[in-house]
Amino acid sequence: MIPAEFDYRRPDTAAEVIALLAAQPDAKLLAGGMSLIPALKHRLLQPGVLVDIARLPGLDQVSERRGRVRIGASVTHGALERSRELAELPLFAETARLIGDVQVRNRGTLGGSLVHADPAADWPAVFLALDGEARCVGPKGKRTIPASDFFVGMLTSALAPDELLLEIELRPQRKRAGAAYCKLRQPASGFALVGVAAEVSLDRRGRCERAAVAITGVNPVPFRAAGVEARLVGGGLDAVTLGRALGEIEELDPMADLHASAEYRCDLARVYARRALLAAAERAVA
Amino acid sequence: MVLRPVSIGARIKRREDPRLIRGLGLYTDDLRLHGMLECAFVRSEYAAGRIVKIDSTRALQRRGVVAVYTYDDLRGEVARAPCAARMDETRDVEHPLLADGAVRYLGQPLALVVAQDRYLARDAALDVDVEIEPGPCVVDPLAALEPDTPRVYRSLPDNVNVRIPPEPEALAAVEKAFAEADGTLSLRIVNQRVAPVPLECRAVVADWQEGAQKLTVWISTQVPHQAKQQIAICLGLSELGVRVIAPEVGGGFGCKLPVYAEECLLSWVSRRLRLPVKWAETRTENLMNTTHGRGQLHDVEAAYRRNGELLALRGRIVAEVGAYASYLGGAIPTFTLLMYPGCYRVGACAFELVNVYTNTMATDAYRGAGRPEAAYAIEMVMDELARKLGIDPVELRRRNFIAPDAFPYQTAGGATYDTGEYEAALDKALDRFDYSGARAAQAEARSQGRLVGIGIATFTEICGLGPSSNANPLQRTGTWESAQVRVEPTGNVTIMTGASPHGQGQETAFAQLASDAFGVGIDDVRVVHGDTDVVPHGVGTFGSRGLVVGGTALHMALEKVKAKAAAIAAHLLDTTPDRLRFDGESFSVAGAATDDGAERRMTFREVASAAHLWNVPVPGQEPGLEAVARFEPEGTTFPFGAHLCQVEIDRETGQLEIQRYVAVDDCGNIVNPLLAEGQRLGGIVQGLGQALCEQVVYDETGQLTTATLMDYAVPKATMFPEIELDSTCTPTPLNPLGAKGIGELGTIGSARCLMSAVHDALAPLGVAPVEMPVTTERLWRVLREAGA
Amino acid sequence: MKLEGRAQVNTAPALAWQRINDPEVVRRCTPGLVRLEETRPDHYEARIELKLPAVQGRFDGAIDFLERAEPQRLRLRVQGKGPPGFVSGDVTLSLRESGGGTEFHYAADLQIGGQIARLGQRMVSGVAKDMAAQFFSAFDRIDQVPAGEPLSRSPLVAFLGLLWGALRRLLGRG
Repeated sequence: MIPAEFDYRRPDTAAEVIALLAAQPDAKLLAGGMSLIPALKHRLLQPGVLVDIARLPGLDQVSERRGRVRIGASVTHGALERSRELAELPLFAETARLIGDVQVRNRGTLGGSLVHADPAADWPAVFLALDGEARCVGPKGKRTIPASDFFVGMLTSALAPDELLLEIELRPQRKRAGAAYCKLRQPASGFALVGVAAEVSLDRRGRCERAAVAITGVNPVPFRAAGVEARLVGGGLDAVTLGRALGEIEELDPMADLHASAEYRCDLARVYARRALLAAAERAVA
Repeated sequence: MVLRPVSIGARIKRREDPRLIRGLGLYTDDLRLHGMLECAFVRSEYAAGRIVKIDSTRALQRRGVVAVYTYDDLRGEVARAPCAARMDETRDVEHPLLADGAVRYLGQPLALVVAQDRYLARDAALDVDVEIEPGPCVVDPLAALEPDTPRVYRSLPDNVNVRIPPEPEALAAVEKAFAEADGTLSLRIVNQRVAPVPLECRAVVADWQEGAQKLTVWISTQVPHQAKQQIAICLGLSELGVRVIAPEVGGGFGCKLPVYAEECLLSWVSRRLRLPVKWAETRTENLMNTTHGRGQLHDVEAAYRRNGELLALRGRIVAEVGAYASYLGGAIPTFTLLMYPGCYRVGACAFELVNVYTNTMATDAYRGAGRPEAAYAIEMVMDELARKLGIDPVELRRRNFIAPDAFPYQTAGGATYDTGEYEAALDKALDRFDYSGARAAQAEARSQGRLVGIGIATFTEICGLGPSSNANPLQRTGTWESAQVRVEPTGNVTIMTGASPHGQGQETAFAQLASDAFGVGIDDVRVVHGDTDVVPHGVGTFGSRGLVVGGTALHMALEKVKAKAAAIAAHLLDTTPDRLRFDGESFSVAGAATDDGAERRMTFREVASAAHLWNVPVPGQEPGLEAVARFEPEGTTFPFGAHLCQVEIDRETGQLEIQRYVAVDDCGNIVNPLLAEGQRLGGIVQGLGQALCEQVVYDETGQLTTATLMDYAVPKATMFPEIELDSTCTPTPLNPLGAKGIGELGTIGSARCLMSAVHDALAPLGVAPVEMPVTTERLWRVLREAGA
Repeated sequence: MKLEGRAQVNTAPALAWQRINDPEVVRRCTPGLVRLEETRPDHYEARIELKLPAVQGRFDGAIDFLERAEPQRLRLRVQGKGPPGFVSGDVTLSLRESGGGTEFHYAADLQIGGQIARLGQRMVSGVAKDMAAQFFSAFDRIDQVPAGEPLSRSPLVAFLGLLWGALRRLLGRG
């Protein structure tokens, strides 16, 4: 638990960050450090230089304009828990509250969580369910990565090693829509044994117009349960219908560890998906 | 005149906390000595095997690396690692400070790297080229007892550390009871291995002064005086040449009671290099190579009468000692034997104890040390018996309690209980919990298909260790405690206690005792501890003995000082001590006034001043005002409690919610209720942690899968409701304070209380008892198998 | 630790057998496998340099072919050791014709030790899955990609997956 030697830099602008990343192939970005610092201490990573972006100006803002919400990459979980700009989206505070503990929430960042792409992290499910977009910048300029393309493998996001995530952007909320996040915490780490973010929008008659179900903690990569979503459209969101739609989650390819077997994770995925959908439907009506 | 409030019994906040919570405490790892080097251990990556080579060539080439030591360097220089728990029957093995050819557990120290700082030391440790030929390994204690199983020590015929058969008379009594019984019940009861996880990991700084020929060792320890003696023995030094200091100690829970190989080794290195050296454990080292706790498996049979009377208990206890017998590790399970009958009239008890070696880290004391295992077992017997006989578990306990007028009570386990009012504590808990209301609500919830359970545990434990006849000669000390009281000329007071605290709050509670004795403010009392050159030889903190034994020693010293102060005051007031009154602040002469009508009186501070100025010599007395006292208890104390809790289990996921927890504890008289409540809350949660989520898990090859706090689940505040505390007070006659000890009491009953509730919640499903920890998946499987 | 899984590839069984026995194919499908050299019959020495966003590490090891039951079964003994720890054990790989392609079934019984055992339990199975999938995906594309170019980031069946997966965990939250 003692890191190897490294250099430390704290650039003032995104451009400097990009230049540093380009010049130092073994550089690693440090934001909240909630994943990186333990990795360094255990020497799972031995980067030559840490580039601290936690205080990089402009990345710590949450803003809302004409329904489009933008969240800076270095906004902490704690800030999202308390954000006034996100008062209309209780999903964020709900998710933030379930992350780690107070100390982790005050340091860890949304951007760090997404880019690190831990298969049991919470934000990836929310990001996927809301069809967010990630704006990033690299040596070739800015680009946008949709959530559906963002998580490419275990612990691997679509962000290139020389790119910097700037912010995520969310489309305006639909009418009669609601979203919720339900999670069972791993007792030691607080990570999700299973976490499900669901968003539903209803038509005038209260039937499901669109459903998004994103699951984390189960597969090596967080995913959208496309089959379930398709089966939900056009129906009511009562327990019976949900039970039928969730009978099979086609994408399941569960991990297993000391805290939950593959079998248990699969069962939890169904239960928590139902709970998240019911909570989302309730908010859609309200 | 304003009456000074009495300190004893007051809820005074811990005087230690302002410095600790602001980061101003001085822990061992905070020490920076001139020229100090830092160390890193090279540890075995295998649980069993033979060392083929340890090549430190590359490590020594690194800039800043001073030395790399292996067993070869120690040969003939040091003795084995300290062990104070060898019984006559123990099959003894040597635990070398560094592995001598064979490795027997994961993380066993192979080499020590000394460098300019800890970063260089760690870099170099990774450069030490180690080759180990892996050997067969045994992790499971029952498997270790099978024939033809891998042996931890080839020099021994099997993996038994010690086997203690039941006493023949006890066995005869038990057999008679079983023959007369209406029925019997058998259970397998498991207390899984857990890690103590103190907030502060272990740390050592050793500083050999060549000129003075003196070794000073700072250790995060519960027992500085024992550490001093053991280090002196290990290094072959006179104890006059060793000083041990325990500065701030950030928790121990028993795992800082052993005197460790690392502490002896650092001492040797400092002497060898003539430079100060430091080692501070990492959290993974702490989880892997600081002693673990519990690790017992019981096969128990109970004989009972139809009316619920428990007649006798018999069976076998298999206890994991790990790969070597730690300082007290081998002796811990004997407390389980002693406390097996709990607070019940059990006529006869006969157990075989088998301590087993396995290729795992050693076990030793952990909050409760053997008694939670006993309480867990007897309370589980009670619950199962209640279920079998269809008697309410509360009623069944009432029928078996030792009556209040039966004390002192000699148990079939071999203990003599001082005092107890078990039913009074239970009644208070039932009342607070609204037991009948809760049962009615439970019936209602059950009719809706909800899994609501109510748990109960009534328990007692052995504390205030204790008469020195219980101590082991290898400890080189009894189990009394020391205190010194020194009154300064101003009347301010310095207290030195041998009961070196590791977070309990002695600086507050002991100051309260002095404050009341002399009528000085708490802030005018300083409590000094943990320095063997300053504090008279003492024993340490373990077994909930700080106040019971250390506090009593202090009380005795305070009384001695007060007697001398009275003699001085009497002399100066021209009277005799028997005519003096002390009102808490001043001495005055009963019924006498001076010529001008004023009362003849002297404050304690005036007496203190006079004692030092000494312009009016008192016949037969020396100047000064101080005393040393040692308290050797006549017997141990037996605090007790009654806990109740309510849980609900989510049928779909197995998630467990603790909805209520009520604890009524009785530790006799209390000096500071706030401190006592803190001890109880922490203790209760630690026990609940074992029941809920804590477990040390080795895989079959002896690799540790719970080596970080990402996998070893310590209990968190968010897992619990507000714990409701209440108490009864049944003082002990065994010490003048009437105190029984509180450090471990919460832990004794809470794990079982929760498991009792879990099993009650599952009762409608008719399933077998669930083992600890009740992880969500474990419950989910039970529910699924029961078709719930 | 026991691991198993299945993977479907489009390559026909005969060709699949040929490829899985071709060290060059294995090397190319396995990212970080910088060396795979047959030093005596059925004995290969290997070096893997893992360089992933969250974990880096180097393993030196050997692979012994215990059994080649053409065309349906392959048994290997693997062992690897490096700063992050060690892995050793047997891997059985079975091939079966399935829908014109081949279904691979892999089963491994591995001992994991050192840092990766202490830190890597959380996602060993997840990583093995993820990496096996990528290996077999590269397996199908081997002919379409010129020799000098990387195919994917994936392991020598479950073996490598284990190594780095095991390694990985511990990585808290960003």
